[in-house]
Amino acid sequence: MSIIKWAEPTDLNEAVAILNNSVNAIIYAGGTDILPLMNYGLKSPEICVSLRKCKSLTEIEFGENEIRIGSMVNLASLTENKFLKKTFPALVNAAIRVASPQIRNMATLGGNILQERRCKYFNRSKRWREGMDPCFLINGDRCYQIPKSDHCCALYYSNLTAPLMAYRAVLEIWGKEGLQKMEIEKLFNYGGTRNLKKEEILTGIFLPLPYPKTRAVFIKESIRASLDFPVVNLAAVYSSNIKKIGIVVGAMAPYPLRLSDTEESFSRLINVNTVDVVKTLSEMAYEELKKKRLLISEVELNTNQKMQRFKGALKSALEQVLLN
Amino acid sequence: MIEEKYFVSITINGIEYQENVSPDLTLLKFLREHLGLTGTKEGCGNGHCGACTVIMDGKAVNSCLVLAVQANGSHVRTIEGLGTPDELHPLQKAFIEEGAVQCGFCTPGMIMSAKALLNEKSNSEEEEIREALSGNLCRCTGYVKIVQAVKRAADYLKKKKKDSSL
Amino acid sequence: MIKIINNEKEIKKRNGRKPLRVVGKSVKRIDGEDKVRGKTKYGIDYIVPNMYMGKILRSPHAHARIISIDTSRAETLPGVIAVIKASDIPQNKYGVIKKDEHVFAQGKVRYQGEEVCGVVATDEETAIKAIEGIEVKYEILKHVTHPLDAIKSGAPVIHEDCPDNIALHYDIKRGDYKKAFRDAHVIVSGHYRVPMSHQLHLEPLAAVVETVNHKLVVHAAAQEAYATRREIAYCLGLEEDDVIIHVLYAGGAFGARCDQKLPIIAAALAWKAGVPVKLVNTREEDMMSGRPLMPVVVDIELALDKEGYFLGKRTKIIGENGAYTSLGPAVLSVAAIRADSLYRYHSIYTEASLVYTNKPVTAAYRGFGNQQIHFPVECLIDEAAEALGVNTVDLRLKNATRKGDVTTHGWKIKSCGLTECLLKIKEKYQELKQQRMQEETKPGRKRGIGVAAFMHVSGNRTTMAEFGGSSAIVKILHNGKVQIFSGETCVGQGVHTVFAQIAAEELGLQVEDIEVILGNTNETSYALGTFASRVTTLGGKAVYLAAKEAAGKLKKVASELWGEPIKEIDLMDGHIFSKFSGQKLKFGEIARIAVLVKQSGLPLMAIGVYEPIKEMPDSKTQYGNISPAYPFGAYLIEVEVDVRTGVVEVKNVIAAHDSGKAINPQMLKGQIWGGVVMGIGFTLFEEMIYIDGELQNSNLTDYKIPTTMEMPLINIHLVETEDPEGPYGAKGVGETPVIPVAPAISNAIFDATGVRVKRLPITPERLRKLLSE
Repeated sequence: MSIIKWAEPTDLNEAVAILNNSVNAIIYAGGTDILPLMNYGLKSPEICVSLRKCKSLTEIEFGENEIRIGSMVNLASLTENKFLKKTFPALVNAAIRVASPQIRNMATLGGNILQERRCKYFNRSKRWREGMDPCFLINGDRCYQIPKSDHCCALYYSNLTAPLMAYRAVLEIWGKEGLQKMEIEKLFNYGGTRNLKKEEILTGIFLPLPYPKTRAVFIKESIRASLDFPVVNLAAVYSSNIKKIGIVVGAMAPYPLRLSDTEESFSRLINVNTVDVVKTLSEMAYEELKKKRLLISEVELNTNQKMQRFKGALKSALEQVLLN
Repeated sequence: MIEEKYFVSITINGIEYQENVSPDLTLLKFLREHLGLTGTKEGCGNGHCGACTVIMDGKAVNSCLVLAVQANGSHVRTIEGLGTPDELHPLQKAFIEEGAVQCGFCTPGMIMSAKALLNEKSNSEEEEIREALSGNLCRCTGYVKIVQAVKRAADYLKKKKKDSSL
Repeated sequence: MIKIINNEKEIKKRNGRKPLRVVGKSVKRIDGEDKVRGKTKYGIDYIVPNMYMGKILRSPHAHARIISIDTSRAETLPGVIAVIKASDIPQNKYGVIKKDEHVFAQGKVRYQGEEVCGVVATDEETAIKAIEGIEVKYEILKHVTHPLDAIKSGAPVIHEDCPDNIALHYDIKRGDYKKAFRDAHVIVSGHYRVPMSHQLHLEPLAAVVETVNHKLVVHAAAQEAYATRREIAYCLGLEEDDVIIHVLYAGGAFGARCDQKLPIIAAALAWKAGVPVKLVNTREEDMMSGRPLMPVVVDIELALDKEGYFLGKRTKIIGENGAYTSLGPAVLSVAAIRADSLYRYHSIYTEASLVYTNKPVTAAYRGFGNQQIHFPVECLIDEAAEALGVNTVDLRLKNATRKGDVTTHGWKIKSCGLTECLLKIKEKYQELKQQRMQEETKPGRKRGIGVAAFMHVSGNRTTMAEFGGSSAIVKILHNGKVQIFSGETCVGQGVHTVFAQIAAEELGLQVEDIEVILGNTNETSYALGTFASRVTTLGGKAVYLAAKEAAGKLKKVASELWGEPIKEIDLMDGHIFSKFSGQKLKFGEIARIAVLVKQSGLPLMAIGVYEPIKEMPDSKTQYGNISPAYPFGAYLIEVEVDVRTGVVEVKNVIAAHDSGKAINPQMLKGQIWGGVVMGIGFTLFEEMIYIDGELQNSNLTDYKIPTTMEMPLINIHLVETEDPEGPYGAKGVGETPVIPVAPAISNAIFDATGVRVKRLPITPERLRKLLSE
């Protein structure tokens, strides 16, 4: 593992400039995602641009219609914020279920959203990957999971993105032209890449305040109750005022999956707070996920297990948000 | 390729250490190899075992995932900073009394995670203790006595507080 | 706690004995303070002046011929002191049972991770660069990673002298099993599989080797200090006395530091390079090339008569040795025999084959083969109970081995709390069943209770040593300081404390007054080490005998000094005193007299030699008593199953153990709590997964061991039988708690869902699939 240079700009424009002018620079937030990758020789940046001195990135601001959470707010702080817990429970529960207490104390909101995708051929030591031609994710030209694929199929495991999407978060991005906003969904491309230029920095997340009586749930299914990446995770946000539901699923594709067809069907229903509706929606969601999922081979997991876990988790989530 | 070095000043167990370090030096290596503070252990190097846990600015962190340059200006407490030569910290005392130490390799990390918990919540329930230690692996003890030791330590600390306020 | 007193003679013996003051108490560990202060230096912490770093080049292939090794780039890299290959090692081919393993690969590599060559450099980074600069040309050969594939005709031949990949075969017959199966009222049978799993000791293997006064000093944690010395001396062509093992504290072992290769390589590097060398495995290296658990494929049949007596047991075991032999034959022999003395079988027929595969070498994993055979046996007995329509605990009680039995293998059972343990489990079983019947079950979740019994040895006689006992030296210095020297080792279970307790008991002292020196080969007597749960029983008994002799010598000095008969003299509370006249002296004072006045400064020396089993069982029939004492027990485990996903949660464990007298109850229970959780990992989570000869889960992210969140409620009941052999009636416990966990969980899952899982690990997907069928 070798980093050549380390920069700690105090100003976002300075940070953008360094990123723009370097050939091989990465943004360094908490480091809990990046450092293991560097240990494996998967990332060898020439310069790390640390954001820890950029003050505006660690604030949580409360507005009339929305809140803004700085991208460098660490996950533990998120979980300890009483207002967030009350207003955005799915987001806070998602943060609580990340890895371990030690990691949550360093990992950041921005880092969790922008975490690298994972694959059993990618997250391996240099020695293990010896003699293997680099795959797409290591700037190579092949995928070991799905040989016919023309892009990387590694899965996206973020806990926080699912509820952020379900809550309709908007990203604040700082680039060469200053501040820009982007709906969080627009960040992710089919194919797993992200709509962020090399010099652009995710600086904050805007969350519109939910309608009163909104019910939101986050569930992460995993093998162990701690430390593990999710087998599947999902967020369900139900706003009874406008009779809309948001259902977003992670760890099932190279990007988060919004079950938009199911959401759409829901908005056409009349009496929604019934056990039958939960059953119908669950079946619909299962079928939609079957269509949209893009799974790969994971260690000790298979499609059946992931889908079964999803089934149980979704039913539970729907029961929690729709039923009394 | 000439590697640039960066000046860091890190306060460890109350003592300020200053050094010019490579940017890729982890806090763990800094503690163990530069300062000879080998109480903090390396078990996996990737943040998945907790043996390297230290308290940085009041929070339990995996020192294998923190760069020394990231820790610049921070206050770090390691196992060596607990207790005095004459007296053990209540957590250390409780771990011994409850039989929570077997091979002892996970012990420093466990104790630091427990300390971070008790610093914030002196009245911890078993569930909270379990969760606070859920990032620390142990293969010898089965965790049973470790959880009980933390409870006992919480009682000691409460009593100490009460005694000192009298 | 139930104390068993079985006959008048014993009652008299007990009443005549003094009440114990130190033994039997949960005394605080004497190594505890250093550990909680972070002061203890483990292998990874150890440094010596002018130390260099070693690194190993490992084979990326499961099976390949080595065509050429070009080390030139590594040799010329600045900072590289030496590059060492097979040809540099005087005796490169070695092995504790069969000499078929190599310090560095020779001719072929036989598993991914096998050591090909080593490098010594100024620092780790340079050493890694050097390794990367070594070019090895391989001719990749077909590999085989499943023992059932390895024994098929046409399978790749792993060792040229073993064309069918079957390293050896055991055939054990007792009684007329054919008649048993003919006469049987019920026959149950099953096919069971246990995969490869890893000890996952938290501290990686590590060693620091330096030359001091022409002797090679190896600083490393080791379970067998003397065996380590022997192997290093052999491989490097040195006299054993020119190699010193300085045993360090281990960050866990569980068998992985038995017959470990890393110290041999570290010694080779230091010896060849002529500088002190530190060698530490990464987690990945530990997993790829450790000494993991021996996988087994077991076909087993049990024949019972109408009343439920076990008429016969027929077993076929295929044990996977991995690429080389190491302790494989011993592990397989345990799997073949050890569960058989748990019950009174009328007849037994067992065939066991040891098979090579292109995977790491399987050897000592806590249980040493006993876990692997208890799983099928205890699951099958549950099925037999079902077939007969009887209570599963009752069936075991009916057939249980009892004190005084000589079992089908000729094992002499001098103490046995199995019945008491089973009765305790039965009581809890009824209780729990009652409770659960009255509770509401959550939708989609089912609870179940399962039971399993077990037995183990406590220091079995093995062919690998000329003796099967232990010895200890007790030295009392002029200032009253007491030192115990024993070649046995501690890997975290608390040997220092147990030995100190025993000596303190006999000498009327406290644990703090005793210094225990373990393992170091230049200070202690030759010993076998930590395995077979032997150290308390054998090592402890030797310490007891030595301490008793030392006490006797001190009493003689006092007796002469005061002119009183020895039987009036006693040691207690740090003093020696006469019961008759009341005269007394401090321990330090009598020591001073004994050493300085009586012996011109020679410390008071006492030795203890304990060798309970002098003869090995017959090598052909394997009949004969093998261990001085046998621990027994029974577990009850309650699980909750999510029937849609197959997720199993262990809720409750009740562990009834007969490990004889608990010398330190807290430490003994510590072994049980830890072993139960390790057993849960073994049963539900752990498997080393190989695809194309490559280990898929070589890190802690993908190889999952239980966290605090997986810890169940565990209740322990100690049944303290008084074994006539062990010190104060103690028997071993170390390996026992992992043994019954898997079958108890599988039986609990059956109770909950009606499905029997016969393969481990019981992952959610495996169970879910069975449930859906």
